Amino acid sequence: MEVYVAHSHRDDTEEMMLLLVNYTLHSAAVLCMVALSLRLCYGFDRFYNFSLAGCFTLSSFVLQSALGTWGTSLFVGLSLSVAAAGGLGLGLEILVFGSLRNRGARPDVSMLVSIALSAIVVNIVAILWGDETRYFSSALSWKSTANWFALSSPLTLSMLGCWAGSLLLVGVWSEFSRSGTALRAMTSSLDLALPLGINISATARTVSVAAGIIAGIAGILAGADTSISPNMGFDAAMGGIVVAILARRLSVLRLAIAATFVGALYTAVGYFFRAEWANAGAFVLLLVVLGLRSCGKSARAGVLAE
Amino acid sequence: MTELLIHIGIMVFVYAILAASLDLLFGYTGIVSLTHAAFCAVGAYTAALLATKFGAPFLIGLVGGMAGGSLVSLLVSLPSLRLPSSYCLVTTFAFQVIVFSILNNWVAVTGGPMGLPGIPQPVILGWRVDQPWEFLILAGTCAALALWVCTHIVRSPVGRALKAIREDEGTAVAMGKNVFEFKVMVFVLGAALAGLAGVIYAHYVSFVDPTSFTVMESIFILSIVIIGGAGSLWGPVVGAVVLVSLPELLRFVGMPSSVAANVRQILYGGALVACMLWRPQGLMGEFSFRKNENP
Repeated sequence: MEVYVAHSHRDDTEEMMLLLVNYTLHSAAVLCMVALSLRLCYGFDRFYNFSLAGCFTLSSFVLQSALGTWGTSLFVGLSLSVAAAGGLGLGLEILVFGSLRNRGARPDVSMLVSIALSAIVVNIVAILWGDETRYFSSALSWKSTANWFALSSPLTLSMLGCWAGSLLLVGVWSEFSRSGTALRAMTSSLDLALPLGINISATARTVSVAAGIIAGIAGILAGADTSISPNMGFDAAMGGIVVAILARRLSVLRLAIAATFVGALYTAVGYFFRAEWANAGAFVLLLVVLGLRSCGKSARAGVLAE
Repeated sequence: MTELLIHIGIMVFVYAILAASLDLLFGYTGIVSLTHAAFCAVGAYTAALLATKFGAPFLIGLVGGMAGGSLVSLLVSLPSLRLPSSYCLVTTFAFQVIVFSILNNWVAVTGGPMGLPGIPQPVILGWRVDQPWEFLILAGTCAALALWVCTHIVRSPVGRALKAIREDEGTAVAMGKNVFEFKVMVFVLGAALAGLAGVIYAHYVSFVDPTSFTVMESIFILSIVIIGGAGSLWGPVVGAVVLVSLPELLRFVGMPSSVAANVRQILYGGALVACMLWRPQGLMGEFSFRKNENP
């Protein structure tokens, strides 16, 4: 009897550990991809483009409709949702952010506009699809029970694959392509990029499409992991901003480490307190980090200078 | 119809206080803050707790609400205002989220999602304010006082220092101004006035819950300032009249109530974006938040 109890206890602990590891990995993958998209735009605009939360939400709702209501295949559904996310990113860049950049708007004001735009997208999605929580159809029901195979379930593998793939692609693109070089030059100095012959608006549009697509894929993965609702992008963008600021710059390794750390924090807060405290917990961490960075040697070195 | 107009009038006064206090930060000092709904919430909840749990009179609740808002703002301002502007916006946004989480999840004190009901009607020196028109007078008086305070600050040497910080922080430092101190001062004052608006709101609706103080509410208050005109004394009042009255017009369009709230948010957000693109100085403002357009 004692042996049985011990085994049962060990099984429960093991199951719980697996669930926690799984949850951390899933959160880290989604947060890292959102942070990557935010960091891409931050490079030249110097603000965290919150409207990417709209791309995050829109792609998952388009995929849900494509698979459920329109009855398309998974490939067509994924293509449609990624196109919608990229299109939204491009549209907002052309209509709003390019215009604000040309008119010399301050970064904080541009960020405020991006928050307002994400609120607009969230409300449009709520009107079109309704406020209630939805789930993907069986084509994306990839979850498996909590056992050792959970870490190799299709969902976890897809998440880890997309996470690593997006980081690798952005790393290679920014290092070796012409537009990636242009982005790095714009990140260093937007004023100097123009005399160097860099087409700022074309590069910004390319980056916006890429950022929109990455945020959109993150939205699809988050939707497949849990559920989809109009506000999902808002929550993800809040976590993404924390990761992007902790990572400090567009570095593949830094983003991966920061995302894993924040993912673990989400898991710990959910386990020891309540999942509703997760974003608040992440923001407390952010405030501590920013508070430390804004004083002492870090402040003198100007690491937060815009 | 008269009751509806009085209700709109009271809400215009409440939002005028919020917008005028935010204008001190945004329009005159150049600090973009998304925490104003949280300060208003602290004021409202403090007054509600004092009145319902301790039976404190209205004036004690008023002072407590304003003091609560100020204390919380001090906590926000110390780490935020040392940071560059876009990081400052992120930290104020973070505080807004944290305050909302506390209101929504600390059920023992705040009542959680159910809120705090049964806030009594205010009694001021024997005058029981229980009729809507009496609330209109109370809210109007408080709004007039708040605007008077804002006017005096803006026209004083402190106001000129705030404008200098807004125009060029580096130059203000070079002129010997303690920029951080001025920013903290105006932040705390703005929060105290937001707390005042929260106290009036709590006693007027007699119930407070977290959904009244979301980040969307902070965006709405900023929209009032931007659309009315940042850096102008009458801009926030005009903005409050326009944006508080606008949704009431939707009632007459015959829109289903299920989408009316979403349409209202889209209109607010759209107006803010349109204003930033084509008329950044708003309806009556003097400052445009663009690098090249200010004198």
